[in-house]
Amino acid sequence: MSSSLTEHTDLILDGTKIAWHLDRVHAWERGERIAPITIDMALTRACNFACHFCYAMLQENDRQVITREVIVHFLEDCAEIGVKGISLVSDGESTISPVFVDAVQTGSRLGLSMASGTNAFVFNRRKLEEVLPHLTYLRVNISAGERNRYAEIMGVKEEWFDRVVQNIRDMVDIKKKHHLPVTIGLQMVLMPQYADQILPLARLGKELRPDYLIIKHCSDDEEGSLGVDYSAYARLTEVLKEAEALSDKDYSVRIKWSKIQAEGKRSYQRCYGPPFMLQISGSGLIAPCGMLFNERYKKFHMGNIVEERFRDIWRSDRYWEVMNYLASEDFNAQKMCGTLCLQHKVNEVLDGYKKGQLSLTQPDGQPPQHIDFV
Amino acid sequence: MRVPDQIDFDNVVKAYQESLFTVLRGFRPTPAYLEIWVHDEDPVKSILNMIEAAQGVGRPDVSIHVGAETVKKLDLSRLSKLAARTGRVRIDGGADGVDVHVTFSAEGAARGTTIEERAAEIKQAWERRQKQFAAHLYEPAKASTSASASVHPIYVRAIESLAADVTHEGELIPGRGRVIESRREGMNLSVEVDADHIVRRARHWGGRTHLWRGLLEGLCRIMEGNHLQECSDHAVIRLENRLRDRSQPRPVLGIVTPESADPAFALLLDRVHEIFRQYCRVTGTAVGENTFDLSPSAEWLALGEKERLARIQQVLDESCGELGLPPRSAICVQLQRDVKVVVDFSDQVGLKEKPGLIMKLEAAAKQKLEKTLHFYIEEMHDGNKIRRL
Repeated sequence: MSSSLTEHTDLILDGTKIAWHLDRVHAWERGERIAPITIDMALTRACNFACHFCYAMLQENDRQVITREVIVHFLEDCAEIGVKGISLVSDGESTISPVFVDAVQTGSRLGLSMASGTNAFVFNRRKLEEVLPHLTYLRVNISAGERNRYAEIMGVKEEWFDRVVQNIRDMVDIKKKHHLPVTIGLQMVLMPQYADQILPLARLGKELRPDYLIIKHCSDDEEGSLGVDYSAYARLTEVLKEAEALSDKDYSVRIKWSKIQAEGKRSYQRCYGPPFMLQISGSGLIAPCGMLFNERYKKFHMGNIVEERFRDIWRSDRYWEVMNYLASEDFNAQKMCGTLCLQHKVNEVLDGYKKGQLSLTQPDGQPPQHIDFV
Repeated sequence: MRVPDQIDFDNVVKAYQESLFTVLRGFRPTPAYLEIWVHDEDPVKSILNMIEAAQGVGRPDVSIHVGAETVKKLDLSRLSKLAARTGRVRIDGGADGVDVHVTFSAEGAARGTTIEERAAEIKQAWERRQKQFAAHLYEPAKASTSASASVHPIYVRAIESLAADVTHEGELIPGRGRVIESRREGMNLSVEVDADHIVRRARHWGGRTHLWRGLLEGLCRIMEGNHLQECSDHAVIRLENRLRDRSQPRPVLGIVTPESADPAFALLLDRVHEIFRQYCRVTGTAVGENTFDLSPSAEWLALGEKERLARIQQVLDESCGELGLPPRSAICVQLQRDVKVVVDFSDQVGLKEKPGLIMKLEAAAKQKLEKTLHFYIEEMHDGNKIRRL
C-alpha cells in the first residue's frame, strides 16, 4: 500500500491535492452531502478563437446567458455552502463575458479562490490590474511559440500573437511591480502534430518569464471525434525533455507526464471525483463533468444556474442521483467517458483508496500552492 | 453631430450580446477595430472598454453615439473622468442621446497614472487574500459515529430472500484451483481461484444470523465466474446495488458506497480485499489493470435489431404510462453498439423533465430487458462553419 500523495512541492501541476482535503473526503465516505472543493466553469460558451483542438466543439448544449445577477448569486451560494475555489476555464472564453471582471472581484471578496484560463487576447493593462490581485492563478492558453503557427493552430490572425505576448509581458510586470501572489502560467495543449512548437514556446516562455509553462495532452471524447493519436506522444519524449531542461529558478517547464504516458487509458471504472470537483458550462448548465455537457448526456444534467440558485441545485435529490449514478455499477468510466478528464487524477486516487490499494493520510509539511484547486 | 465612422453604442452592444448567444468560435465584435472590446453591464465601463479598444489598435480618435435610453443609466461625469486618462474628451448632447468623442494623446495617458492609482487597491486585495489563506484551516477527520450492527432496512427484503435460498454455504473442499480463505468470527469466506485468476467457486460458513448468511450468499454468487481482482474492486459495490430497494430513498443523503451504506458492507469489503491481498502474496500476482466490463447477455445479443428496438419501445411506452405520460412520449430512435439506446422525446415532455425522465427510463429498461443498456439522447452538433472547413 502506498501513500496517495508524496509530492506536495510548491506547485502541483501534474497531480492532485485531494489529500489536503481529508475533512471533505471523510464526509464523503460517511455519505454526507459535500460541497465541491473546486468548480471549473465558464461565463460564456462563446470564444473569439477557433483552436483546432478545441474540445468545446463537442460540448454543445442549450445556450443561456450568465448575467451579473446570476453570477453574483452563484458566487454567494458557493461561499455559503463551502466551495473553496472557482476556476474560469471550461468551455468558453470567459474574458469576453461582460461579467468577467465582476465575477473575479466578487468571488475574491467573498473569500473564494478565483482563477482563470484564457487566451489573453482582450486584456489590456488596466484590466489586468483590475483582476490580477484577485486571482490565485492566471493561465494563458498558447499552443505555439511562433506567429504563423500560432495563427494556424489557434485559428486567428498572426498579429493577435503579438498582442497576447504583450499581455503576458504586462501580467509578469504587474505581478512583479506589486508583489502579487498570483501565479502566471502558460499552457500548451499538445497535439502530436504541434511538436515543432514545443521548443519555440518553451523558449518564448523563458524570455517572457511567467512562473511556468505546462505542456499537456489533448483530451478526446469516447468516440475519438478530435482524432488524437495518443500513441504518437511517445515519440515526443526527447523534445519534451529538452523543453523541461529550459527550466530555471523562476521559470518552470512542466510536462503532464502522467496523463501523456497514460495514453488516454483509465485505471478505474467508478467516477468518484465530481462531488469534489464540479463543472459548469458557459451556458450555466451543471454537469458532473465537462465531457458530459453535450445534450447527448442529458441524463447527467443536474440543473442550470441561470434558472435556479446553485445552492438549491446542490441540495436537490437530482444532483445526488446523478453523482450516485457515477459511483454505481451502472457507470464505467473506461467505456463511457472521453479521455483524460479534469477529474482523472482525483478519480485515480479515490478509486485506489476505495479499493484498498493506497492510503489517504494528512500530508506533512506546508500546504501546496493553489490548494483550493484540487 | 454624427461623424462618418461613429460607433452606435447600443447597436454594437445588441450585436455583441446576440453573438455571445449564437456564436461558438470566432466571436468578433464589429467594427473590426473593436476586436478586443468587451461589453460590460455597467455602461460607463463598457464605453471605457470601447475607447481603450480603439486606442489599443492605434487609432488617433474614436467617436461613440450613445442612445437616449442608455444615457439615462449613464454617469457622464464618471465616464468623462475615466475617459480623460486616454486623451481629450468631448461629450455633445442631443435629443437622441450623446456623442462621446475622444482624441487620444500621450498627455491624456500620462494624466491617467493608472498603476499608481490602483496600487493601494491592489495591495488591499492581496492582503485580503492572504488573510483568507491563513484562515484556511483543516478540521481533523471525524470518526464514523455509526455503531449499528444491524443492516439498513432497505436491504432486508433482498437479503432475506437470499438467506431463504442458500446454495453456497459450507467449507470449500479443495479442487484444482488455489483456495484462499478469510476466517473471522461470524463470517468465513473462501474462494477457489483458477490459473487465470477466475473465482471458480466461492463458499461461506459460520454466518451467525439470518442476515449475515444472506449477505455472504449474495457475495459468493457475484464472485463466482469473475476475476478475483474484479471481485476485490467491485463485487461489494455490485452487491450493495443489487440488494437495495429502489422504491425507497437511498440509505445516505450523499454518495452511496459500501462503507457509507451500512457497516455490514464495509466488513464484507474488508474480507474481499483481504482475500485478494492474500492471493497476490501467495501466488506472486501483481495488481494489474482491471478492465472488466459486464457483457450484454447472450439472450439480448441473439435478438435481431428490429426485435431489440421493438422491445425497448415497449418498455418506454409502459414506463411512460406508469409515470402518467401520454403514449409515445419517448421514442427509441437508434441502438448503437448493441447497448447504447438513443431516445427522443415528444413536445409534451418539458425540457426540465428530460434529465430525470431519461434516467428513470434507463433504469426500467435495465430491470426489465437488459442490464447493460445505456440511454442517451441525440447529440447536439457544433454549427461553427469555420472549424468545419
